[in-house]
Amino acid sequence: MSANATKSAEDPILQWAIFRLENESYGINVMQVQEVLRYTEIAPVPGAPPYVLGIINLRGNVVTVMDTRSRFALPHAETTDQTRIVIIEAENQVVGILVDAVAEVVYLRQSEIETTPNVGNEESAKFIQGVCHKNDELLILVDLEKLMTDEEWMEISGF
Amino acid sequence: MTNSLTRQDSKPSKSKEIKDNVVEGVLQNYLDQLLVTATQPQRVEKAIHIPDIDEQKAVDTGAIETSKSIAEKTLTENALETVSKPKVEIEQVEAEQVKVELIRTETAAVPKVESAPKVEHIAKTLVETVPALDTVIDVSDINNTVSSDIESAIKQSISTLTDQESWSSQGVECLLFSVSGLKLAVPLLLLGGVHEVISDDVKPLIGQPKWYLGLIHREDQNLQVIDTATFIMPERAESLAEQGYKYLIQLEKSPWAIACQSIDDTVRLEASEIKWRGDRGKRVWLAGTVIEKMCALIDVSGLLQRVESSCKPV
Repeated sequence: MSANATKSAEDPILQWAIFRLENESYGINVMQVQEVLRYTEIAPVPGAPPYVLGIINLRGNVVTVMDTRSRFALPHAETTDQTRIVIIEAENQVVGILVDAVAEVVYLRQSEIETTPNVGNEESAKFIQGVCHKNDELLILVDLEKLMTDEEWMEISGF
Repeated sequence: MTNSLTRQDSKPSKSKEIKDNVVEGVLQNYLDQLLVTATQPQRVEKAIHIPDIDEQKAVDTGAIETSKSIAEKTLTENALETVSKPKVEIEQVEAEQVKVELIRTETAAVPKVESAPKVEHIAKTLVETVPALDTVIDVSDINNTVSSDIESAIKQSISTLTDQESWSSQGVECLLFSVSGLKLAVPLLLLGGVHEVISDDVKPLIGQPKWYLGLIHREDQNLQVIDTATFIMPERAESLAEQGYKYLIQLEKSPWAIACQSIDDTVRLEASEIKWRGDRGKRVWLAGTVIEKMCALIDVSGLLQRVESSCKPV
């Protein structure tokens, strides 16, 4: 095995899709991103939990769209031309997350990712998988699996 | 006759003792009240002038340079210089011991380094454990051990700088800074660095408590920024996130930094000037108060312990 291959195995490179929320940059594993859609009308679902904005029709399939700002305890904001719905796959489900904008895909070595001490007791603190400083910008890497609890994932599967 | 005289003598002595105790008690209360008063916003606004950031720039530059140079010089260079080469003869190990002595002398000039004998002991132990004096041995492993042991020993000794016993008679240089009207002091030796905050450098993280301002990238490391006002004075409901802050003071070489609004001065504080806080149960971050400077001396290790105790690794 060559030295490069060994290095790659020890320190794998991961691709992260970067999106913006409230002027901060967040990264999600690109392998979990199915597609990125322009903002389209989201049909509200009566009785849905507050973190669910509603549903969209994606080529005949119903996809639940989550209110990412609400999940991240951020204030509500109006949609803009940059607003996107990122279709992701997590916990064997396909859901959409509404974000302010989608920026780019970056390559990060595992060693570049720093864990952060979890000083918060709030649920949203658990989403943070790590942070990374790239191109003079702090990227907050999000663990999509932890975006919701098991019960919540079960709950939205019913839509 | 003699007995009666003795009794007579002992009476004033007892009453003097009681009087001293009362005075001490009153003084203690006064000092406690002083800190409480200093942490009350209304009084502070009248009593303490919070200088504008612009006014402080000239002072700040000097303070930053001084703090950086002293802290870095003493904490890192001296400690890490000690061991570097992979192969040395036993004479070199002895030379290391001499270097250790030098470190002890240098650090003793400012604070009293309690663990210097420990450092000496480490070096002695290593000399004793070397199998043959004439043999040239690979001491890279030993070097690493010595390096880490010396580093930790020095770190430990410096960490105790906020204990009364550790202060030399010559005093210790401290950096004065202001947070929401409260003047705080931190020994320069315990400073990891002072960083200026430009615009929105500090990135907040979701789901963190109020005292956690966020992350900032400085000198190839991410610093976690503490809202000093919220953290040390939660009862005042002051927040630097709302009031703004201009500087970050890195605590030792830890990834933690406390935010402040202005850096005021560097002063030499002597142990006698400080009213040491014996019981730190209530305010673990407080080492003592300095009446003359109207400031509170931070117990850096206590503050770090409190911060780290509230952290759980992800």
